[in-house]
Amino acid sequence: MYAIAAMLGLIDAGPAQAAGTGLAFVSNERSSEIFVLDQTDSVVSSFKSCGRPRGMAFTPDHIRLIVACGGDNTIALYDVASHKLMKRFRDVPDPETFALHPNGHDLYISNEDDAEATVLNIESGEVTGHYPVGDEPEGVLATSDGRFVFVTSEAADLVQVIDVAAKTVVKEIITASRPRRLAATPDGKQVWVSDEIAGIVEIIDVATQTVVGRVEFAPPGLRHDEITPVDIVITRDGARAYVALGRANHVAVVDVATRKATDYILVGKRPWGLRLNRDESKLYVANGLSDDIAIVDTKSGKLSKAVPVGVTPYAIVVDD
Amino acid sequence: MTEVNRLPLRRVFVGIATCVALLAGTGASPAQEGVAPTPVKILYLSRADDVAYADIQAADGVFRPPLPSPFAGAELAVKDTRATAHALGITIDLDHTTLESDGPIAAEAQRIVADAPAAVIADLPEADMVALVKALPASSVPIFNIRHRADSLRQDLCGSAVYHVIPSRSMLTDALAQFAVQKNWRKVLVLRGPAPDDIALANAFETSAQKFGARIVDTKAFVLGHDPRKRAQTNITLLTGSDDYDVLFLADTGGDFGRYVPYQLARPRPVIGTEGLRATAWDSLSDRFGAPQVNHRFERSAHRSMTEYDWAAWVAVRAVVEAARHKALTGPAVAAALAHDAITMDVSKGMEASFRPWDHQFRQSIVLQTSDVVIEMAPLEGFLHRVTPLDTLGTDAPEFSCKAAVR
Repeated sequence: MYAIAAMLGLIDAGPAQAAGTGLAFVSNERSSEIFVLDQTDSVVSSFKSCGRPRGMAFTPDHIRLIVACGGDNTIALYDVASHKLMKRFRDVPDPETFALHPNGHDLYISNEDDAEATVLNIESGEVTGHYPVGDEPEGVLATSDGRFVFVTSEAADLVQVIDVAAKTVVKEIITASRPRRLAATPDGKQVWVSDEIAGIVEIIDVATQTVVGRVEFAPPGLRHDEITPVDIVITRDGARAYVALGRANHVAVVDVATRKATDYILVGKRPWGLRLNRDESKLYVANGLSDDIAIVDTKSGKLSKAVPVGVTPYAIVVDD
Repeated sequence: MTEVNRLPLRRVFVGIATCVALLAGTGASPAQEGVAPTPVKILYLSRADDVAYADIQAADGVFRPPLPSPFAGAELAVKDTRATAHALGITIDLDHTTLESDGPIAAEAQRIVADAPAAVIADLPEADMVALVKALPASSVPIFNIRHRADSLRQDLCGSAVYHVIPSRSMLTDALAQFAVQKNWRKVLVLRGPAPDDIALANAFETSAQKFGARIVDTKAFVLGHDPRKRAQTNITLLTGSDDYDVLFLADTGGDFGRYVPYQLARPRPVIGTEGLRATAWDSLSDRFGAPQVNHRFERSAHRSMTEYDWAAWVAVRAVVEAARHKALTGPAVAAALAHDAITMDVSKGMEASFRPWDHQFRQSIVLQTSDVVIEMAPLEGFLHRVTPLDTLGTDAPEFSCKAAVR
């Protein structure tokens, strides 16, 4: 299957003034809406998006919001200030998530239904690469030096490593059951991968591209099969990681150095998506089955607010 | 070669072709560069003129499609696991052999011994499967049961290398009983047909009801016919108008009269069992846990919906790949590996699945569905177990003791 992306619906809404607004954008996969929260954690607006929006990111200048829409096979770019659709790339098969390469224009997209990762240049609209990966690819991560792109395949229990310069898959790393999301430590030395059904996080050493460790979770009163980790974020100082535990309804706080969970925060029903704001005072948590965003005060490790959003919130990005 | 009656035209190989395609696509994998992948053979064995796939006798003149061959599920699994197989340095070679309708099992067993596949998927009538198990040397190769639900079969074949992917009957009725109890529909009227499977299903539900705290108010036997002298047995309204009940459990495995029951019963009560809310291993309308992706892939490759038998064949192939991850590549090694709790799999039903060491039953969630939607996945919330809630469904270790003669 060869995907061809086309640029359509170009609308010029003039220069945007949104960078650094502190607004949080939330994609809601079942209602095809993007909700916007302000710094007081109140919903200030929402807009209809392309179908089944899941993965999101800002362009490096924060003028555009890139949204992967699996429902209508689209990567859409919205103006951050006006919420207007600026660009739309069609015929990208079932995109779930993506990573924007540090070069600022190459989007590495997981095509969930097609066992493929495609590379879309969001400036030219060209699809410049296809990589056959395992079935149900999900998490995509570009290393900060731009050399490698990691892709998880949920159904294949595999993380594949694409060498960007060589344009080839250079490593296949077998993981535990159902690898979902990826996060890199700030020093670029480790990539963490969440294995949803195995209920653990595995740690990949980037230099050797092998699994070198794991993090286990034991929130009090919960069973192993209720622990289904998905999203991971790591603090900028590389000291702490937050892991959304899905069915366990908690977010785990992990000490990165010792690879031990130090705290579990009750957040809502089936948390998947996570995001920290810039000063890392707030952790946003998307609770897919309670249709809300939990805001965790990271200092106290307590929930400060739960904000109702659309149906099945998936990802959060913060414009700060 | 032994004198085996086979239909050579119906023999299909898949696997190698897809692997070559993948290699061509990725360029190279340095992990296995220059090293030929190890072939892992899986034999999919079916029987010509198997009644399970025969045209459905349309007594009412209405066409109902016959059950399609689940081989398509095994084929999909070969495609689905190609990336994993590549990373492991193996190829899955799936061989579909169809025995002639009167072909002897013993000869096939000899051929299996000679060919030494890593696993056999038995899409066979129950008697054939049992005969095959008895004809093969003990623990020489795992045999996957993808069709037969009888709990007695798990008992009779315990200690052999048979692995039951399809849920046992008691797992299905346990799932329905959990649902009824969770809803507080504790008074149940059982209505069953005359077939042995109907009686077995009704009995299994009675045991499940007792296990989870529901009460059977009465069990009524239905007789197909119009004889006014037998109307107390043929008329559903009369059969269901007695003592009050919260829910009706229907056991009509042949689909002879059950379709009418939800709207012919005397009281406005929900129906569960073989109509209304049903328990299955898989549904093509599941909307969670990655099931839609599996169903999309299946529909694209087989051009039809995925049945629970397709799904069971799909799981069987995936189990072999999972065993390969644990370095088991030969029949005896795979047979031994699967019984270990360490071999756990994601089967797109939300919970980590594995084979129970005591009876080799695949430990899995059960789908509770109507004709067009998945209502719940059992085990349901609140039904607890000291090891895993999955073991609230079916025969648990303390209830099972293996005293069968079959090796």
